[in-house]
Parts: sequence; structure tokens; C-alpha cells
Amino acid sequence: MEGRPLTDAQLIDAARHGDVAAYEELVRRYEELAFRTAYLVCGDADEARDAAQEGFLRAYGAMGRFRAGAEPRTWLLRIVANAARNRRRAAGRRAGLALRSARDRPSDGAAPSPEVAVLAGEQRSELLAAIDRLGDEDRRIITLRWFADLSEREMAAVLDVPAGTVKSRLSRAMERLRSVIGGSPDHG
Amino acid sequence: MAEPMSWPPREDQALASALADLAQAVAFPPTPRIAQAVAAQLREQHSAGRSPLRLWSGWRLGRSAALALLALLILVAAAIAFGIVIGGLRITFAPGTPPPLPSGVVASRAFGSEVGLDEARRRAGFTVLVPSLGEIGQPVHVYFNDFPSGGTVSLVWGSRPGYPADANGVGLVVTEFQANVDPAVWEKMVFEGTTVTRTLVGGQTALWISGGEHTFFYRDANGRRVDSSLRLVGTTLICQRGGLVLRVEGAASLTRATEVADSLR
Repeated sequence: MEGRPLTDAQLIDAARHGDVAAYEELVRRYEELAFRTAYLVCGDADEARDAAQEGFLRAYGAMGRFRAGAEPRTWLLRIVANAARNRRRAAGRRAGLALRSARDRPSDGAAPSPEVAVLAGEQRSELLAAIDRLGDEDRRIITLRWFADLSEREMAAVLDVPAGTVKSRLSRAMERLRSVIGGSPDHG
Repeated sequence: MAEPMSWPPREDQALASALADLAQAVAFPPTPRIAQAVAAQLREQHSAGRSPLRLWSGWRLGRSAALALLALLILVAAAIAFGIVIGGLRITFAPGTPPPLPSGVVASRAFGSEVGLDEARRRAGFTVLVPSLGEIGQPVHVYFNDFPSGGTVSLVWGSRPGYPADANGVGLVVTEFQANVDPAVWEKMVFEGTTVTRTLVGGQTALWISGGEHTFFYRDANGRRVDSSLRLVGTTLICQRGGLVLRVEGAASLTRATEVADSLR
């Protein structure tokens, strides 16, 4: 046991007994995911920061409602996303997404030829532009799934809908994305 | 992506691969130092003593250690001396009266989500029983909590004759969950001024709790206490039926509560 990082459940247990440092550690584990999720939900970086902060503070206050055996990650995401959804209604924006420059990207070790790299870059731009042309709901569900890397259960918590609804919405959104890409041969 | 993929992607798998690749290349705004800001705010609130959070954690720090120790000692004593264990439910005693809970939380905390009777029946890992007494009718609210294994179903009524409403407008609550849930067990903490009477319902041991305040909590798989924060004032009958533990809360008398329990179908 000694030397091993505490599990999320152990941190929550400590936080329930007033250990702020333990809660800070838990928040640190999820701050990036929560911020990005909030950003995709409410579409503004400042609002996303405030929503994440508000969500984590609320979660601390609601620690008594955390059920043993529940996933802390999903529970926290649900509370942060709730704060983000409230801010989205007020702000009505959508998250602006851009491509990082190639040198900032993690490399998989393979060194593609310049032609392949250019082609892949164009395809990425085209795909991102196609996502931007989707309606808000489609865009949100695709970016949550792929860019925030949320599971269907987590997306259900974030969007406050049943898991079955997530599955069908995601499937429809993917279909529409495919048709947007296929219907725009002149793009890129 | 070592080589260009087929474009445009026509298959689900190809589109999924393209999106996974794109995810590696998308730029998000830099993540702010949220953990630091949250911790600073919590520490400030704690030291200023102006947050409700302080009241909550202060109580837990101040009383939980003593309560936990007492509960543990009394639990062992009670289990040995009285054998007060029903299904997965164990009764413990604690001295004094519990501190006040934040207002407005009682109804929302332990019941789980409101689902309706049909969905509760679909989700529960057991046959959900409903009282067949004409005078109380169908439950007004039905909740499902997916803890413990098989879930917990709570049926809630407003005021009915013989079941006066409490401050939250709740008259009668019937809660059902599977017995012998191992390793997690619901426990019940009974505060001073409360009496526990052993009785029989349907030929099986039952407990009638009345006269004071009592609260439910349960232990997780690691044996840690998890407070359901549901504190009850009033009466509770705890009985067993076909592998289920049933709680009937709010009846004005043991006779009334037993009628409800006996009418469960």
C-alpha cells in the first residue's frame, strides 16, 4: 500500500472528512477533462473555467451524496457539466476548435513522408470543418465522444440523457457527419 | 497516422479512425489551474467559517470519530447481546441526538432518481412489491437507487389517514432491497430516545423502531461507512419477505405498519 497513489475513492473518503488537500489532488486528476468537457458543452473558455470551478466546489459540498461504488470521474463530470449547461444557456456559444501545429502534436514514432503528412493534414482540416458545419447537438456529441474521449455512460451523465439516447444520437450524428464530408468534395 | 486513409471515410470504422486521429491534433484552450483555485477557495471558506461546507465538515470531524467508535462498540455488543441483524440490515445505537442536516436534502438524498413504478420494476433485481391497501392507493412517487446489488426501490405517499405528512410532505415510505447484501450492508443508527421492539411479521423477525430519530447508512466493499444522509423522524417497521428487506416508515402505529407490510403484493 505504502507509496502507492491513493485511489479516487480514498481521496473522496478523506475529503468527506474535511481533507482539502485530498480533494485538491482529486480535482487535479480531473481538471483537464472537466475543463475540456465544460468547454465543449458551453463553448467559451472563461465560462468553462468558471463552470469547472463551480462544479468542483458543488461536488465538495455534495460529497455526502456520493455513493460508494460509483465512478468518481462520472460523478464529477456530471456536476461540472450541469454547471456548464447552465452557462451555455446564458451564453449560447459553441466551442471553437483548431488544429495544433504539427510540431506540437504527440508523435507515434513513425515519420511519414512530406506528401503523406500534407495529405493527412488536409484531411484533418476537412474533417474539422465538416464537424463545424454540423448542428449544435451533433457537434457536441461527436466532440465529447472523440475529443474529450468520454464513454457513452459519461456522455449520458454530461448531457443528462439516458445512455440509450446517447447511443442513438451519436449514431445519427456520425451518419450526418459522413454525409457532410461526402457532400463537400470541393472543400479543402 | 503513418499513411493517408481512404477519403472520404465511408465506413463507421474509417470515420472513427479519422476522428481518433483528429482528436490528437485538436487544440483546446490551455487548462487553467482549477484544482489550486478550488482548494484555495475551500481553505478560505473553512478558515473564515462562513460556508455551509464548514458546518458540514466540522460536524463530521467533531463527531464522526466518536460516533464511529461508539457505533462499532455498540454494534458488536448489540449483535452479540441482541442479535439485531435482519437480512443485510444491522441496527446500531448512538448517544444523543443527531445534528441538523442542511435543509431540503432529505427527500433527494437516499431515494435515488424518480423513475415511476414500471421502470422501477424493470430495473430492480427483484420483484417489487406494492401495498394493496385501498386507503393508501398507488404510490405518489417511485424512486430507484442502484445500490446495493439489485437496487433499492422507494415508494412514497403524501399524507394518508393514519400516515401524517412530515415537514417534507411525506406521509408513508416503503423501501425494498435485497437482503444479505454482502459485503455491503445497510445499517441503521438509532439515537437516544428511540425504542426498538422485536416483533413478527409474516412469521419472520421484524423490528419496530419508534420514539426518536434514526438514520441510515451503509458500508462499502471496504467496510467504510457511507452516510446516506437520510435522517428519519418517526416510526419504521423493518421486516423481511422472500429475500427482501422491507422498511415501512411513517405509520402511526405498529398495527398500521404491519397492515401495510402484510398487504404488499
